[in-house]
Amino acid sequence: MGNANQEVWRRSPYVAFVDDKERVVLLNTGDPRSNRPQLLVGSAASVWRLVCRGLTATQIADTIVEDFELEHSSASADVLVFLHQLEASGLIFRHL
Amino acid sequence: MPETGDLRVSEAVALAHALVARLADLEGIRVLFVKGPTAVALGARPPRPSSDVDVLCEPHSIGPLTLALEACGWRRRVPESVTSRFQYASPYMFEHSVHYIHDEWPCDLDIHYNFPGFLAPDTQVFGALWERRTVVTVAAVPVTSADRLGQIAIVGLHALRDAALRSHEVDLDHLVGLLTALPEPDRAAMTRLAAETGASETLRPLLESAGVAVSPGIWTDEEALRRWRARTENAGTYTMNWLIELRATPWRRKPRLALHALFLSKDELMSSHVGESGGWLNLTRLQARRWLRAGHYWRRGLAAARKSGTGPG
Repeated sequence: MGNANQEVWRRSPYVAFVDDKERVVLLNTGDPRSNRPQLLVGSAASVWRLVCRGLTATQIADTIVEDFELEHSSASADVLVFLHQLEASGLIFRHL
Repeated sequence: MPETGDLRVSEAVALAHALVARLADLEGIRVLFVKGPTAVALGARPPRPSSDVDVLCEPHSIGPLTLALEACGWRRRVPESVTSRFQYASPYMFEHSVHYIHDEWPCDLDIHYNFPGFLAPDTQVFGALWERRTVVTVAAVPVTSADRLGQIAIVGLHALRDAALRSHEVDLDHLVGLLTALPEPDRAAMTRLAAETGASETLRPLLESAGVAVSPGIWTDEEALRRWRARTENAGTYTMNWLIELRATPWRRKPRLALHALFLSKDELMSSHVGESGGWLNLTRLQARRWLRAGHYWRRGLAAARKSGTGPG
């Protein structure tokens, strides 16, 4: 997990999103016929905002732990799982 | 995984810009976003929420674009409205777009094939606006938009079409202030754009209010201009359309048409109020609202009907 945590994540250029500070709504236009708007709230929305800032998984996890007062090891794992889910959905990619 | 949640109108409008832009790109179709968030971003309209997406599609490409939308679950809002069946009033209605809706998206898509008030041929209008296009960021993605002057022309024509509406008065005041403050080269460019798109006369009230020169231009369509004036000078409402139709319809068909005008069917009423309840209480309310509106506009509608000069009278 060491290397994965240092990877910088980026938003796919085909992903449109609206962020009103309360929630984030995403639309992956990469495949417009099959994709529907996706809603992110709470820590998920925060992770999205941090991805848009071009942070690594470690930096994202550290920020989430601090902002939501979570236990570090489990939060880091959860963040990484979530990033991989976003990646599998074509919403973000690893910037090598 | 993220969930699909109920979209808010503001979210839907922004994301739908991105969706239409992407579909147009995939289909190789040139589109220009107009009005709404792009006009606000360029300062051509005061900030206020939009409930639909307005996009001007290059001539002859609206078919492929609407097919692409339909493949994404969008459907045409009113395949054939009662007003589209008007025989005599239709030239005064300046039909200019097709409306698309989607069960999961709380906004309309207005796909324009032209824009009322531009009297030059559609190809010429689109070309002139495309030449000046710009890029605006909506929902964090770039979309192609009419530039500031193009948006001024479009927002201005839209407002002048029904200038008595409060929101249109606000828009016109805003545009007069904006045009007045423009540097001289931009004011000259505004004059040229109006001339190139056949909008010198239709935009004249706005341009003159802002002290922008009006050039006659090369596109003149006296009949279209007459219809434009009949509509804009007499409140372009459905009341006007019904009265033009009623006046021009042969006497033997007038009673039936008058009854139809007074009592729209449920489907006809609901076609303009998608998503609202179809219960008798709401239908009665919608019908009563039509009558109130007719009561307010009938004098101006009659004047327009007389000016239309259509039919046997």
